[in-house]
Amino acid sequence: MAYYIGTNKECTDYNQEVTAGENYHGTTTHWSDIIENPTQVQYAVIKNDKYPSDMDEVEVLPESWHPPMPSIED
Amino acid sequence: MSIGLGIGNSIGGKISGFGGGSTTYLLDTYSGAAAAYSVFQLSSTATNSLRARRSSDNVEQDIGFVGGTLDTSALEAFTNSIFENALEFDGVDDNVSFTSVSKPALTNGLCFGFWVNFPSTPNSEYILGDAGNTNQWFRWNNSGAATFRSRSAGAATTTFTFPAISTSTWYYIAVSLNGGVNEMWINGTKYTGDTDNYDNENISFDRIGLGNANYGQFILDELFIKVASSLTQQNVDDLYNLGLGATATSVIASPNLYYKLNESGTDTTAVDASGNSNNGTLNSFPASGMWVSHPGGNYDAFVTTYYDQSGNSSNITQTSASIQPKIVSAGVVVTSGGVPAVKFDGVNDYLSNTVDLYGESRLDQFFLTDTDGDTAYIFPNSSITSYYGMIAYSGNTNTSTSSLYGSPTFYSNGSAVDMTNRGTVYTDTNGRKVISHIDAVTSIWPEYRFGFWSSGFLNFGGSMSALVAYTSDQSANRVGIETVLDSLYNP
Repeated sequence: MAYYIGTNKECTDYNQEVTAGENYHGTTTHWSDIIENPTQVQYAVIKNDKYPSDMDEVEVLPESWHPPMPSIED
Repeated sequence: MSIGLGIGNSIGGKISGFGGGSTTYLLDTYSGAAAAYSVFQLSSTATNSLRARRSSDNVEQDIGFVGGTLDTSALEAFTNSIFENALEFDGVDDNVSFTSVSKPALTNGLCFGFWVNFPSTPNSEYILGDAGNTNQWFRWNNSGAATFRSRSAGAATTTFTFPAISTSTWYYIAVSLNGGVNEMWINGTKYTGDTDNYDNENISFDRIGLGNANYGQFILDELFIKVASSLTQQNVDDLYNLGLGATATSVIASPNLYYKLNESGTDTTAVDASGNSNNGTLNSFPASGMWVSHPGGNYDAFVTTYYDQSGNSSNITQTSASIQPKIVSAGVVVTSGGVPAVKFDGVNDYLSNTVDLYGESRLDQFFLTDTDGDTAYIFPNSSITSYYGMIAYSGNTNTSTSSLYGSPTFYSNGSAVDMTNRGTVYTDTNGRKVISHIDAVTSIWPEYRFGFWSSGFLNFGGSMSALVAYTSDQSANRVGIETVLDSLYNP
């Protein structure tokens, strides 16, 4: 599973393109959720192989996209 | 695994042994669940287990139970095409002969259907005929018309016209002639012919690819014929199945003839799947090469909704296609320990409850899960990452629950889990287990999720066959519920 990284608008537009192309109906309403980087102003969307994009592509999201590890609690 | 506490015996998702041997169900016995999701039928009133989206065209369908367990046959039939091979006719002399299928006079109705693909623009391609009667046939005239004929003169022909079809494309064709209502469908769209009434006609077919001493060039698949019968729109929709097809015998009761045309290689017989043993004989075909693939395929299906069986309509759903957990992989229902299981990929997949289970001051939960070798996972959790339940982490020695989950007691296969160490939790809960969380709290959670915590790690990779949750104290029922779930998981 790969991701495209771009602006919020780029990711949203891509998601809308895939959603329109796939003609979802029923419970399914869209292709992907937009993922926000918790530390930077960056967004990602899951890639659909049928819909190429010029956005940067990564196979996995780097650690900077991970939320803080759950804290130690007793 | 087995908890080893016997309270009756499981039979396909039901429990026998309670109430003097009558069949009962987990939720009928341990009533009061806030929500329950399972591939097993947990309640006598439960209708559906889950709603699936198939990958081929994104169509969704509810899937119920058979024998107390997810109806895997219905799910696979919904997901996969029926096609395998088809038979290619050269239009020169190829034909299939069979014992005549006849509609005597004074019987009402005749119908037939098939998948067809014309490699070149059709030009009087005879699909059905009678070797002894040159005036009985069904012919594809050209790209936009097809004709049925029953005799030499009088009200004896019906021509259907339609928008031009394409070459090298598969179409599902169905024809129904009954009491002057003459209809033909192409991929489920109906075209109506004239009102000639064929009920009083003697009509018979004994050839495919030959009629009126002429032949037809096409590829044919899944041909059925039935006399004294007609088709409805629903019949045709079911047979077409949005392009995936359905076996004729699953839609039409007792067809007179049904050739799946799935033979291969040098086979010279088309086997009749109607039960009437009217096999067809291939005439004038080449020694091989006539059985060709009809592309279709086996697909994946994903869970859009895991239905609540408690009666509270508290379903868990996923509206985003890319992160729906999988229930059918390459045409086969996912299983764990021999029973169906909803598979989470450990990367993004999750199901969400925004109806209930969050905002609870007490939550007792029972999970049937099977982890698949993750190094770490969380369940359950919420949309805010600091709100989570159990953390299992291979080799990690930190403590393992959030204060925002209360102070629940955890059990794995009926034994208490030491929750002060994530590594211990991992060891105790990894693999296929019945996991219980007794007296958890989700008071300030804005959502209840299962499967996904973050983009990167601590997501649940594995399968879940059941989740039963109560908002009341189930300490006294814990062993009983665990035992039933265990017996369901280990049939």
